[in-house]
Amino acid sequence: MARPEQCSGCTKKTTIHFTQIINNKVHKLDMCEDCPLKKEIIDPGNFSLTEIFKADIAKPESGALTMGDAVCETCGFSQVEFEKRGRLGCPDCYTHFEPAVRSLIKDMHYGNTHKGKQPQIAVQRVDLSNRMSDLKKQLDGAVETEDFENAATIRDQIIELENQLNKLTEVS
Amino acid sequence: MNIQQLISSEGKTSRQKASHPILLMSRIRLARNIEGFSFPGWSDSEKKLQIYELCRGAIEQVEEFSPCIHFSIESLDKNERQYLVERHLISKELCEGEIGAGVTIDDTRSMSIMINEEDHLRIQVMSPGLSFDSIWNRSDAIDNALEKQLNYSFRENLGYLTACPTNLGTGMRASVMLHLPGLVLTKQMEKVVRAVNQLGIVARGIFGESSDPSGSVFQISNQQTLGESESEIIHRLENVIRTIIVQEANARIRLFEQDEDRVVDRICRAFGVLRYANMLSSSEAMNLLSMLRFASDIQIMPANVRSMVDDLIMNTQPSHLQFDYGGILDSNQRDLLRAQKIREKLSSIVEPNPSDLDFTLLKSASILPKNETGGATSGEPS
Repeated sequence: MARPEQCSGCTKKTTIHFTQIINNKVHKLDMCEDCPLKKEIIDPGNFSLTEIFKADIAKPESGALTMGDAVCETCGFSQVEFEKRGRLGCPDCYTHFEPAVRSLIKDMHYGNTHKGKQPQIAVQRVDLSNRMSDLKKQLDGAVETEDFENAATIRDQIIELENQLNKLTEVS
Repeated sequence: MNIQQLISSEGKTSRQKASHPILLMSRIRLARNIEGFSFPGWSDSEKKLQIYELCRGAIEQVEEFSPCIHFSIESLDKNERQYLVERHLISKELCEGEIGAGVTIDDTRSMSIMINEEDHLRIQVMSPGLSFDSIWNRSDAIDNALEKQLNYSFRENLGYLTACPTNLGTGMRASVMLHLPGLVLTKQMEKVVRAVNQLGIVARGIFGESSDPSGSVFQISNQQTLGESESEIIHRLENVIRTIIVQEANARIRLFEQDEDRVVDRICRAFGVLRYANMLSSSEAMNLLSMLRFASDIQIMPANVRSMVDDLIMNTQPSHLQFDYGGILDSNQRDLLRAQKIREKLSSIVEPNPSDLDFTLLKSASILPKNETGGATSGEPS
């Protein structure tokens, strides 16, 4: 069988042909010498993102997403690109590719929830954002039921929250 | 300060502590990103420059780092970049960085902050020996100070968001550099690598990912970053390190019990080649110098040989040689200069004496006192 000329990870010419047999299944990868894929293979302690992807995420049951469908609304990074690079485009990719990321994390880490240090400002920001979305839902509800008195109170609370949020983001 | 001055000013902390037979260095690295920006690998030049300016501004305002030296990677030539890699102050990845890549280094050369590497910020603190407690405190303080200036990308459940999901959560990689000739010569290293992998710990060559373990120097670090606090990760890593150190000491002793003549022969040959060779490649020099360090640990060679070896290993790396020479050298010229430097240093050293063999110091050094370490005291916000 002819070997592909183009690297699986980028567009360079293939120089390495890698075959791995796991549970009687043959996995083949063809890559250039500089590709990050090579590192993952030479360094057996590292996780092969490509293999994890192929083993888990491609399965339809691991999420509604199929490969290539998802694109991050914030930065335009696609899930195909993630598969190639093993890295994400922006912080919001974690939200947009959540099923895929969750599935990866399961095999990669000790647990799936952060237990360490928390940056205080970021925590406040997350907290305010959560309260903000709650309030917006309440506002929609109040408007729907024509409870305008309550809606006005909620609107004032939203404005107050927005001010607080703006103060926090001014930091950066 | 420019890079020439950085090179001529000897790092203060790097020589403070007496060297250890097995433990070379410990390091903590934190990955951080700024909310509202794509990660460096997916950013255009304009955004990278914006990040660069933001981070530079924040770093400048943090007094704890002063006095510091800052370099934009673009402003450095290939040899200067390589020098910083050899000193473990920047990563190979940053070295290849283009627009917006930069590094701030403190004057003791034990702290560096990389901008626009894989993540927007990589804070790194190093120290000789095993001292996670103090380097965690220092990294934590720097991180807290930067957080006041920068809007970090953080989610309650996933922790610090990073370009690669392997760094999610704490974004922390704690590592030690160990000299393990006993485990290498008794061919147990592969077994050790496999065993620590089971515990979520990785063992790699000296320059991290996929590098060659020449000179029997290995980097041991945590693989997982999410699901445990910083102190739990460090505690787990420390337990593994303690075990490896005891195993290494035992392997060295066993090596002598099994075939003393052959081990002594290897040490004497290493000395002979280093003392008289006309050309030495980087990896040959590393491997032979590793044998002399080993000989010094078991008192076959004088105690001062150990720190001499450490200096030689650092100073005979390619860009160190070129800075010393004052120009670019091809690989043959480097091998000649490397051999010459090593010959000169070893000319004042007495040859190995097997009758001085004594394991006492090695044995006592292999039991690390509990209070020397202790790990991060808290994973909670203070």
